[in-house]
Amino acid sequence: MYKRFSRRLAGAAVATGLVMALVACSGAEPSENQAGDVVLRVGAIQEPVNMSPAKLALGNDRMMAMMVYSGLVRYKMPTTEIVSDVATEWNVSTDGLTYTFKLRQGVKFHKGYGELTSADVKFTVDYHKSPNNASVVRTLYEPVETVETPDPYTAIFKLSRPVNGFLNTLAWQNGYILSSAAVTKLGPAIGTEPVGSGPFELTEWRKGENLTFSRFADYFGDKPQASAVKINIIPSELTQILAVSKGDLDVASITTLPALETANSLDTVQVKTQPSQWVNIAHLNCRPENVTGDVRVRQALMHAIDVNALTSASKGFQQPQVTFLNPYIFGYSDKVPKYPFDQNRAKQLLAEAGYDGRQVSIVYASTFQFEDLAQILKQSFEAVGVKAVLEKTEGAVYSQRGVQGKFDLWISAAARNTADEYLSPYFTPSGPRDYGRCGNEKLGTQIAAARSDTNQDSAKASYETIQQAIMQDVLIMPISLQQGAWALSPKISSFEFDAYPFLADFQRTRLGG
Amino acid sequence: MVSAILWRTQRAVVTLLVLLTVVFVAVRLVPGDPALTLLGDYATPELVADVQRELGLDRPIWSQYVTYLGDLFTGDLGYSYRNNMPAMELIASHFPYTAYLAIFGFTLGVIPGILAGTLAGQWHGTRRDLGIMGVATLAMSVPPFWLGLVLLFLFSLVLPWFPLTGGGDSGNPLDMLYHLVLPAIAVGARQLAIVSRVTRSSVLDVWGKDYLVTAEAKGLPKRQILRKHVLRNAMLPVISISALEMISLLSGTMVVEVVFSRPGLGSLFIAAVNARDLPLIQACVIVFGLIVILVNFIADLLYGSADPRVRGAVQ
Repeated sequence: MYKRFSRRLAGAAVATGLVMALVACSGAEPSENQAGDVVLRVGAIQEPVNMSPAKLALGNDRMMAMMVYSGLVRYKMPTTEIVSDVATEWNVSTDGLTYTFKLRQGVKFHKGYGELTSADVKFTVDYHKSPNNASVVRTLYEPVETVETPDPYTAIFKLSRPVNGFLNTLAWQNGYILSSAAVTKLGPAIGTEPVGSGPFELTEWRKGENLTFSRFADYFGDKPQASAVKINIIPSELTQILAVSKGDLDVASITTLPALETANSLDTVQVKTQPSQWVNIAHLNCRPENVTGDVRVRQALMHAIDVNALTSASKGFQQPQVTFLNPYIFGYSDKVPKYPFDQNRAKQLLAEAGYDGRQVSIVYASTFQFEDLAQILKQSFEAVGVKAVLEKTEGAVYSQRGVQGKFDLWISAAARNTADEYLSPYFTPSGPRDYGRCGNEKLGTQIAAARSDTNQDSAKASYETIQQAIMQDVLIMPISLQQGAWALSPKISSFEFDAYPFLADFQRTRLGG
Repeated sequence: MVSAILWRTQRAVVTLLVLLTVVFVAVRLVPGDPALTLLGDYATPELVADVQRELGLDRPIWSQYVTYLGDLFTGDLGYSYRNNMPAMELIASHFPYTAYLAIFGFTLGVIPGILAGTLAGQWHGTRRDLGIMGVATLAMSVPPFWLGLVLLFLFSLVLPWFPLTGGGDSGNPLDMLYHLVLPAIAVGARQLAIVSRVTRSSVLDVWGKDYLVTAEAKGLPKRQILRKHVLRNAMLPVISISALEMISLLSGTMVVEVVFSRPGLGSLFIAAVNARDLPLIQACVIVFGLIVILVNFIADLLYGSADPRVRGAVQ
């Protein structure tokens, strides 16, 4: 009986193997389909939450929105040079209160929603400004009193006050133009069924698996080589990089050192890096009852950090950063008070402050490279006698701790489009992101004045003064500037990406020779 | 039979009601604001208040609970904040992946497990018995996520026989099967080990009974004794343990889905918890609760079918 059973078992095993071989022949989807069209396969760590320009908050959402939408103007990637998009020309009045845009004729929205006209531009601004829509960029459009539309291809923005960097706001994702017809019809569903005028349109979404953005046949600009971009949802960055090496993906973003090291070690992966806008910072708690409430303690902590050691430990992935503004934006200045690594000076400052040995809590989220940064800060502080306790929290709790000010240091990353997008929320008294209550009236006044100053030279000088004041009192702790990096398939011959994390120019990506 | 079903249904409803009430309260007590999580870096107090109003989170908890219960009775499991669509639709799109993984993993675990356990029982005391139980012990010691990583490394990277990620093309059964192989082995290995051990013990226990000695003495063929007398009696504890393992396998699929970057209820649930997507969390818990109740019910039926003495008690 046992011999008969063994033969049956062997037969079953052979049959199973044959089935598996047959199944294995279905294989992974190649980047070129049978029609010879090129499909660019990109990894994303999560599905999009909301791709509406009014709700863009997450990196992945921004990556996808970038394929779908157009604005009046845009940045020429990877620079911050402002170039034409839907608008063919524009003019700014000398008082900075009137912006006149001439629109390209024949720009089409996806899915048959008609031509993009100045009425859609007006609709977009009104949509963002309306309190009913809870737009995340509402404050950026508050200075716009009205948008006049004398004809379908002219949009005139009338501002209540001059705004330094208003064109930058429009060039960024905040300036994407909505289809009034689509938004009226779809309502909130526009977040998951985006309708834009960009080079790609969302044509398929398999929940939990992938999204397909197909080339828009009526796109007004340069036609992408890729007939489609397929976004594959793979929660682990490391797995994405392995998928690139295996040939299952063409593009994966890199945001952590282990992922970068893995990518560099694989022969079948090409790695592209460049400086990015990503500044790792720690919000400090300036409340008097907190140990970091004393400016001398904050200055001591700055002196305690050996940023060069951080750079070397990260193999160049993190670079020294003396201010919290990223080097790409207007107003950045490195002529700020510096805090070179000096443990003796740190101890001296702590003694002057009468530091009483209280613990410093360092709150951070369990994402990106924050763990590594937190460990380095802890070691640095303890080397000068400041006991630090690490509080690693998951996303929702991390946000809440920040908003409630329950921290001494709250590690974050900032990548902003304009200086004012950092300064106003962070440093005006009780500003929406002044979590540590480090803002003050004087700074608030200086920031408001710089925002309205359309003279580039004086505005630049104002921003420099503001940064000097902030760094003099260490109202925020810049830690490092992180490199932007992407893992690419060897098939990719041309690829540009933005200084803003997660954003790449899939329209102009080229595969093959 | 009908009264048994009715009685069980009544019990299931009460269980579910208690479960969802506990979950409803628990997710609202846990730190983390859904509005804040949705808005991310652009959260301002005004925007947070706006979003909370939009989501109905500014209402008193009892009011939210009453609305929630009312919606449940009409089959509405709520609207996912994060995904901007009905929770039921999301679950329906993800459920097949988890179901296939659970069923395939269960099948890979239970059937070979019963086979291996039966053989080990018959080969009791021999090297073959030791070998089978040794492998079973090893399989029980290895966590599914670790096994999954090893399988990925060996059969996806070193030997590129299987895909690294994904659940496969839902319109192509062969492709879905292809994507199931490694994850199903990862979840099924532990089931195989446990079922084989229980089966072996059970077979050994039954084999020594007097009625089997009588059956052998009467000259019945060994195969007939095994099939009609040994296995049928040995299966009773195996059925019970398999039901329990099916339930624990569901939690195993959660972890394996993450390791293999597969869509499914597990990864959906984890994302919902991270995002504090309250309606989706609640909906997932209800679905898991229903699955547990269903599995237990099927196990009771099978048990009753295998043992007439129990059948009457069940009815």
